Amino acid sequence: MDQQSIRVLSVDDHALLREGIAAIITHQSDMVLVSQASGGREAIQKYREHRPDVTLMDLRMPDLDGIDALLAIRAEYPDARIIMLTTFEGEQEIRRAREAGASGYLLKSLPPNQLVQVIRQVHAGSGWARPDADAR
Amino acid sequence: MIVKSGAHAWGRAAADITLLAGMLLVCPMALALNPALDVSQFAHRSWKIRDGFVKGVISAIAQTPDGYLWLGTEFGLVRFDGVTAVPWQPPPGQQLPSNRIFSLLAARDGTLWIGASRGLASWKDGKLTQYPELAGQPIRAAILQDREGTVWAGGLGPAPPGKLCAFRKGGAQCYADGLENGVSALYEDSHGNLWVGARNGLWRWKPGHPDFHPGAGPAANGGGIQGLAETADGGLLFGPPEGIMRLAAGAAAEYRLPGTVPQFTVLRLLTDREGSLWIGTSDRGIVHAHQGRTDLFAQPDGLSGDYITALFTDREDTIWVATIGGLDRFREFAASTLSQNQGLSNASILSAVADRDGSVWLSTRRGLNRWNNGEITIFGQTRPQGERSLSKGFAGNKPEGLLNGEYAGSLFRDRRGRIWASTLREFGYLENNRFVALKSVPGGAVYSITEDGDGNLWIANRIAGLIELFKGGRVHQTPWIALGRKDPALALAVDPVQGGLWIGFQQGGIAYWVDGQIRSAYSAAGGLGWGRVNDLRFDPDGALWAGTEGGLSRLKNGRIATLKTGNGLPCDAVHWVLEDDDRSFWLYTTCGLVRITRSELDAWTAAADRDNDAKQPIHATLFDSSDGVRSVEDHGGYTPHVAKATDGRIWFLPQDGASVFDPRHLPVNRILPPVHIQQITADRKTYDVPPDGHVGLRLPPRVRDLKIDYTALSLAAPEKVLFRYRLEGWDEDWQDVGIHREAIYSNLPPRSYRFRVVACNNSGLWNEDGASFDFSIAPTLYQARWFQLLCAAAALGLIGVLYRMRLRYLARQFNIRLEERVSERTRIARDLHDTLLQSFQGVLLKFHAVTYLLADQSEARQGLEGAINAARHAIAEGRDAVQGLRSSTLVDNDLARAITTFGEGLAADRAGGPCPEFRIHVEGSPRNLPPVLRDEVYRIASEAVRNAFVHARAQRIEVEIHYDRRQLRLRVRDNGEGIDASVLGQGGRAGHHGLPGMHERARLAGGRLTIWSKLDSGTEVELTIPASIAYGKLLRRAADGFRS
Repeated sequence: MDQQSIRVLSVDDHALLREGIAAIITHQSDMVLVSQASGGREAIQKYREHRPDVTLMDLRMPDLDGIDALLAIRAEYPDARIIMLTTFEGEQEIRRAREAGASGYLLKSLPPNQLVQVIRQVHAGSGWARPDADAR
Repeated sequence: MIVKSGAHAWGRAAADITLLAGMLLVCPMALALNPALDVSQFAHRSWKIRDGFVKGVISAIAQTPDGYLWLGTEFGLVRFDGVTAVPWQPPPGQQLPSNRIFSLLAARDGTLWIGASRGLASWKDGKLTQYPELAGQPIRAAILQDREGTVWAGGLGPAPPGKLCAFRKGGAQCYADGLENGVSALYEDSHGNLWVGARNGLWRWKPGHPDFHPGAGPAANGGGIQGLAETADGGLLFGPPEGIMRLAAGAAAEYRLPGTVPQFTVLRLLTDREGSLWIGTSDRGIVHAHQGRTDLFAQPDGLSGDYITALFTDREDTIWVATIGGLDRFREFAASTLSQNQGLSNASILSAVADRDGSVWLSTRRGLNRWNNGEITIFGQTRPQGERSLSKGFAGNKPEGLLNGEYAGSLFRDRRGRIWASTLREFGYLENNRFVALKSVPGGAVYSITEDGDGNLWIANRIAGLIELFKGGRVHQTPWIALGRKDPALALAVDPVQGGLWIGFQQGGIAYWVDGQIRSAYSAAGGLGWGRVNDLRFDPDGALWAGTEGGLSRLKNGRIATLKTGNGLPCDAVHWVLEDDDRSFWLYTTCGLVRITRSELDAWTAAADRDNDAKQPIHATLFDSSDGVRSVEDHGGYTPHVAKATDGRIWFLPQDGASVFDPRHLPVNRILPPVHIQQITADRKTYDVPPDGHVGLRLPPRVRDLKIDYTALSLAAPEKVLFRYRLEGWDEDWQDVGIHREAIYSNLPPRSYRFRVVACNNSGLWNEDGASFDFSIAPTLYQARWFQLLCAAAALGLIGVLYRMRLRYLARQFNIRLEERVSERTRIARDLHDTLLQSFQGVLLKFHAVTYLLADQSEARQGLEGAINAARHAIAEGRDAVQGLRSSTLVDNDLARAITTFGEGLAADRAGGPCPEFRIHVEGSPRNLPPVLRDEVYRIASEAVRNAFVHARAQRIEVEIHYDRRQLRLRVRDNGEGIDASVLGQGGRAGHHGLPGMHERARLAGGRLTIWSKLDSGTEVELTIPASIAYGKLLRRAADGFRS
């Protein structure tokens, strides 16, 4: 594995979705999936363990909400870069996520190109990353 | 003991005519009692004290103008309507001087003057007036109203002393001089003299100076002169003492009555309209002097008592007699009957024949009698009966008047005037007061004798058959067998036109006998009345009439028509038929006498001749027992039993005596009977009805039984007074109730009523005005109209309230269900979203990952990528739909703000391209909406706004929210491209579910979505939700309850 690869942590409570994301990321030459978590608490734990570059965090999770997990991680690691994953565009939630310190958000329905694009963007340190409006 | 002839005949007649002007038609004779008749020949009715009619002896009778008869008794005043005697009650708080009443006067103004044992009083309009001038005096003399209207009354004394008082409008004036002995009688004669009877003599009181005539005869009766009457020649009759005295030209002399009269003591005198004198005696009942005869009527004859206390004539000319035993009424019959009282040998009369001199031959079982002008002679005696003994029963047990020892059966008068007679043994004729028998003709039961045109006699003999007695004396007998009959003939009639003999048989049928043969025969089968043929008679038109058991048949030109009960004849069986001088037909039937006027008969015969229709109804008048006509079932066989005398009167034989009537002078009561409603009884409480009846009685509510008593004041024959009544407001038609004098109703509903009743008198004259009486039944609370309306209104109100409650309940239920549905949808959406969609997306990612494995631009990769794109679109659509199902996460209630935020979000997201102007507009005061509904509205609004932003490419988008009182209205307007009409019509683009989704969502929210759009003009989407759902408080509470 190349050291320049982006190390990604994927957090989602839905197994199939996790597998899908994993399949996409694995196929990217410049990314490597370092860990997966299925819940908020596990996410915090895995982050501590693996210290990934970018985290994909599902917004809605049963045990600990995505936003809460985000806040917890960023409390410990203020420079953590976390992208929120959401199934729909709820403006208020996105605003909350942004205020909580998320680096961007992604729709789960996005085509994988968009997905990996945003990951690269966030890793590169761009501002608030969000999907392309026309790519709906 | 007062003569109740205080007002004499002429004065009273004048008063009557004044009162009944217009009601009395010409022929006043019709009402008055026939002076030729004895009292026993009048219709008599008796009411006895012993039977409970009244309690005490009646001493006075008067009749007030309203028609009621008043009886003054020992125990007070009684009102009599001809049927019921009702004791009179004085008005409350007032009293008569005493209850023993001696005299009464009905003054012309309607006041009733009452003379009692201790004073005088008068009663009018419910008020009783006392007269202190005569207080304490027995008023035994009649009270009198003279022609000037002054009322005279006298006290009998002796303590206080007797006096005479005159009462005028101005006051009273009393005279005592010479009258200390007491006034016992008062009378005004036709010259206007006022006569005062006293204990010791007679005064002519006025005009001028009073004259006194001392009483004649032995010591004056203690009671004084009591009877006063006037004779036709103007003399004054008075009594007692014994017999009657007559005062004329200042001298008093005994007045002798015709005939032999036993001694009697006069108590009362009455002259009736015809001039007959009625004498009420103290022990002989009534002595009746009329037309040169005197007859008696006493208790053995049926009078209620022999001691007469009062005599009175009422307005219908009925004579009322009060005795110590009760009250009697005498009225004239239509047909009067002669009996042994009048001199007949026997009451059983077999045949009658009228002679040319006006006399009538009557064959009785005890001898042949001849009546002539009121005198009855017995055949065979040379001198008339002369003075008959007035004792009961004719002392004629010796067989006088017999024909050779036998009584005559049938009689016949031939054209020459000879009287033929048959006996059981012989047959012959009368000549010179002797009976001449013919040896050649057998006697026996001869039913009919007649004479033909040649002067030959035909005789129907039961055993011997048909006998022809030729003029020359030859006799020819034909037995009935030879006529083909086993039964004898009962009636024979010679055909005046064709000659020949018509024969009517006992077993029925008639035959025409000519020259020894039967030419034609008719029987019931051919239309003849069935049964015995009683009589045959030809009328002047040549038609043969047959009285049969089955009706009256008419035979003309070989055609028979029969009058029966079906046509209106009271009975079928006709004993004889006779035509009177007016050409009306008289029939004697088993119902009585029947008269059919000429016109009725002609109409019937015309119909019978013309159309052969015998069914034409006729109107017949019936005279039955109340008219003095007795019914017989079978006349017995001998003929004739009807005879028309030369004076036009008709004699007939009713088994018991001989009856006679004058068809041209039948008594008709032409006085309209006044009708009075007496009282109304509601549930046992009685209310008197005032005379005018229009006061309007208000009865208490819920009256169950109502009885109205009414009467009609025709006293002549109250049993023939018929009534009809109708309760307006209840009865639809007039009710014919016959003689009933009360009407009964049950459970009448509360409302106003008018009871009307009319009556007819005994001659069938109807008083159509009758009497009427208004009353009403008060409604109970729940029957009152206003209450019922109130209840109805309340009920309607209640229904309204219930309806609204139900509506609200339904709305609430609806909303609850709506919420349930919404929550279910939300749950489904969440499930879908959380699981299914994510799964799909995961799978898609995996597929995408597979494409990395495939060679770039390879067919496989392209195919897979294409499939993945298609799937992504599908998932996107599904996600959109699911998204629509989820409830929002709106925190606050402000719909406007939420939509604004949404719109701004959309505008902000719009990367590149011009941003449309977005505005929101709120009208009305914003209200809180139920959360679920608010979400739905927000969903619809946001979808519309999104469409406007995304698809319409509009420059301006406006949202308008109107919180109207009756509805919530939301409008989203844009000026963009518009939606294609076809798309609009289909409800949306195929494959896209935005528009139908909005419609559906709107409908489920209970509202309505309207979309207006035109290409290039813009689009307007309007959502309306009714207020009850949009603002419903109940909904919110329910929804909140559900949430928690």
